[in-house]
Amino acid sequence: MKRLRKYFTVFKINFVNELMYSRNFMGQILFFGLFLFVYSFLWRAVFRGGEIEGFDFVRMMWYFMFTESIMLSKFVFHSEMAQDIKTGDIAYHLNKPYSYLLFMYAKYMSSSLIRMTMNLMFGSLILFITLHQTPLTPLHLILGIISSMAGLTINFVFFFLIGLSALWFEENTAFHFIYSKFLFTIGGLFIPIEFFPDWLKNFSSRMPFMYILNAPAKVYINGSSEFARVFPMQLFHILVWGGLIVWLFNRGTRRLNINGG
Amino acid sequence: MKKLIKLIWRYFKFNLSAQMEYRANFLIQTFGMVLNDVFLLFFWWILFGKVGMINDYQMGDMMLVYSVVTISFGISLVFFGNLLNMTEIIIKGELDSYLLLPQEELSHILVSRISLGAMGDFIFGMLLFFFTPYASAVNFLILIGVSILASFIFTGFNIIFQSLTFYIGNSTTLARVLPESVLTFSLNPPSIFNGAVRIILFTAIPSMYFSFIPISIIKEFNLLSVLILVAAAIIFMGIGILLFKRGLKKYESGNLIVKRM
Repeated sequence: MKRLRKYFTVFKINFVNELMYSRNFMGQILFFGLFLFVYSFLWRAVFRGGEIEGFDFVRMMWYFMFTESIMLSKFVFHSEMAQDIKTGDIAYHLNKPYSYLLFMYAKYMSSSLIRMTMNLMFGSLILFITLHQTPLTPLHLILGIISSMAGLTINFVFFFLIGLSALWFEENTAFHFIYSKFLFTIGGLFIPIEFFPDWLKNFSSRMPFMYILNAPAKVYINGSSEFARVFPMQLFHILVWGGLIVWLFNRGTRRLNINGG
Repeated sequence: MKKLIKLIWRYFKFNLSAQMEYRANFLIQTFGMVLNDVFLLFFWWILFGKVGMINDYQMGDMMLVYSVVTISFGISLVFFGNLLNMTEIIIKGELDSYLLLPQEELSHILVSRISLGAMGDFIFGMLLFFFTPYASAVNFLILIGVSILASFIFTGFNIIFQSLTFYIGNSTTLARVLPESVLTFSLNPPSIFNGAVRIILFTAIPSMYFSFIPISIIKEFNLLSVLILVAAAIIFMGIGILLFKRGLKKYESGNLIVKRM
């Protein structure tokens, strides 16, 4: 526990830093409000006929709010990491008495959590005012937050993997682009994967992407039954993909060649 | 006018050849955007696959929406690539390098950059049109005509809000959110919006002229709608140019040495 204290300090410093510049979130909040507003018209027209795959207008709006809250809260660091690798600045991290991976995780989680909290507060407020209905209960909220944190952790693993790719490839923007499209489609950002044709639904449920957005959003809505189903799968993906980045990072740092400075 | 068209064409050729020097980057950015647009259509493919029709819209209609919007957006940012960077140029005091040259400032700023992503949008829109149920030689000519007009409306609208920087200082957030809002509204079936929102879409967020009226003209040619589109293009461009010219008098040099490459 004592060994983890330094990462908690990184988390705390970064958290305070983000709070100091909370005005930067203004643009993001405006985008978020805009999406909620426009999609409320679309979903109203779509659900005029009633329920589809267990979703009605109200549940769909909350689902969309939760997936967007997580999507917009992700602290993007893969380009910063790639830059560190290319310029050799990563050496300043590697010779310090901490794990670079956990250092980045603490930084990522503090920035992401503060953004997610703001998005959730803003989005919930808007939906409470406009819909007067919510599937949220205190228990759903707690379980949803735990599942979202697991989702953000899976996302961290993929961002780290994309950042690490700079050790082998000079340019990694394309990897991030492809990854974000996976989240957008089979991650269930705009549309729940329950709406997909069967073959695509089966494929998506075997992939880790739905556990970043779709699964936490459904935990917020359905509560403990959903949590019991998806949380073990989230842990499974964290362990499998997390193990892969630890192995790749150790291999990659052996390849690293830094000249003077 | 002749001088202006010559300048636009020469800059286009020059910018394109400069970008072609890094051929891999050119191809990645351009075709990356084509891929991005394909992924955006995925959402509608799933949704229409589930519900068949949203108000009076089917998948073929939605493809036409995407075709018109991406072509118009593409024309706007391929030829006026600096359109969405004007706020940044003004804030940083980088206008000086344009003011010293004999060419008219606004047109010179706008044409001095090309957006490769927008080039991808343009290519995507052109190709997509031929997969819509409205594909015909006559409709293709109408598509080009209305898209050019819509691109002027988008350009004028953005010049207005980018020029606000002269009057209210840093308007980066506004200048970032507003074009996004035009696109977000435009990429939806128009009939889902009603009441006061429709008035907003005719005025403050001109999605009606950018997407909905051009689409109605392609579906069923109407001279009055064409005239409305022409009038909207003249009004938006006129207000934009006026605001820029007046605002320019308030501009204070950043005393910055800028190298334009």
